[in-house]
Amino acid sequence: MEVDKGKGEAEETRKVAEADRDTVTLKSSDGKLFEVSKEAAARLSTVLAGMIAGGSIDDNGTDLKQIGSEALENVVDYCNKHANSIPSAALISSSISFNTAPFKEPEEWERKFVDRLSHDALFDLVEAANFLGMERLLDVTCHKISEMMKGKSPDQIREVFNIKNDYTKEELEEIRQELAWAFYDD
Amino acid sequence: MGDGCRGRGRPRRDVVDRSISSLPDDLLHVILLRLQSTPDAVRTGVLSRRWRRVWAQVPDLSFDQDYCDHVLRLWSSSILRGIDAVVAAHSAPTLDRLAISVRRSAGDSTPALFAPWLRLASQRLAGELEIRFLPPPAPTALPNRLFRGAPVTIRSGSLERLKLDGGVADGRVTVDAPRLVRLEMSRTRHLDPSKVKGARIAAPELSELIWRNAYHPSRDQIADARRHLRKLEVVPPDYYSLYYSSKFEVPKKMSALFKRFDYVDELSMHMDIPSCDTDEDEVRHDYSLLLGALL
Repeated sequence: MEVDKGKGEAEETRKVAEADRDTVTLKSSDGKLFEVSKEAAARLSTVLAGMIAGGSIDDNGTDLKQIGSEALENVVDYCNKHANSIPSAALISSSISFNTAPFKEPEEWERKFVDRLSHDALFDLVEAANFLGMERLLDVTCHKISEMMKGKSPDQIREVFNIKNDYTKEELEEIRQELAWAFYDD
Repeated sequence: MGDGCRGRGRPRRDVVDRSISSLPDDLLHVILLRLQSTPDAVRTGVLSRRWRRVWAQVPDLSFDQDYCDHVLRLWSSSILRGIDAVVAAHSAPTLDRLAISVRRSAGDSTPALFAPWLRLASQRLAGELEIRFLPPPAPTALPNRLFRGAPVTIRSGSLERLKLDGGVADGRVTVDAPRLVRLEMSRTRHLDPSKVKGARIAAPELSELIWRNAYHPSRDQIADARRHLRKLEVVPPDYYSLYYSSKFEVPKKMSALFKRFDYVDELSMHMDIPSCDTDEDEVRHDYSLLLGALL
């Protein structure tokens, strides 16, 4: 018991130190650790904000079992870039009532950030942003994907995203007829 | 770590284990929403079985003027049926927004294009309805006549005021609106009353009725409505435009509309009294029929 108590006290001091730290440590599903600014995490992610406020942040790395290391690296990268970028008036105002505010075009750095991602990384990041309640990141990533679809024919979209057409010829013909009015170019 | 682990040390682009189609529906909805075009979103229905109905849950419908121009260009009854089918397939429980941009000159029955969408909005819209009228484009030879008389059905438990005009009002119209208070029917000025397709109106709360131009006593049925109106405004068809077809019929037919109601608090009538180059007695007789019906 004596020994245990001593260890408990040490734990306690460490927790106090943790509370004073200005970063949080996140652990990916495959066990990799990432540090991110506490302020940025709380501001950009409703889920992390809740965990920080509720004291469920683990000094040894808060487990995020849903998120792989590549996606988490991108999340952390986004948070850090966001913290470093001078927040524009547009972003400040849009964060107040995000649900009702119309979508704000990605800023230049956000555009560059999603442009360098592979498709797989982009889809993983969409899911990670959704899981962490990061509305802005979710919007920016979904916007990027929608841009890849915009103005393209179904064949082109299938090619871009490697989608296999599993309709029978008859089914496809039936659907095409039903949706004829939605097809502009053919 | 666990079985559900999707994380990878590095991207493996040679292995197709991840695709847009593996995203959950609610995220695909966000992506389709960002397209900001319902026709674009609907087109994804042909990609694969996975995508068949994804668009139908997107809680935002938006149509730009391209849709309007395009649909008018390939207009046919099968197109209208297609739109109806798609509206029927739309299954998002509530709509946050419906936005339509219409070219002002797109044709009399442009409203017919949007009637199915508006009907959907009347049932599910919980947010914003935006209808924008854009300036007409350079003149084009759209075969507007083709769209005249497309049947329109409006059923809504919440609709209070309704205005139908031009090509829509000329066609077959069914209105079933338990809370409708004001109805404005403006048919085309020169529509021959004998060519009226007929309107069936069930509006038990109706208290203001504005009826312009042709009225057909048997085809137009204001079935489920009170016999006491707060306001009735009637504008009979232009007398001269019908002179050679059915001038005797016009006043008689319009008078049937007055007979439909027992009490009217405010009555407004617009009439052109023909000048004396017509057979005056005949004309007076026609209009005395109409006025007699009022008194």
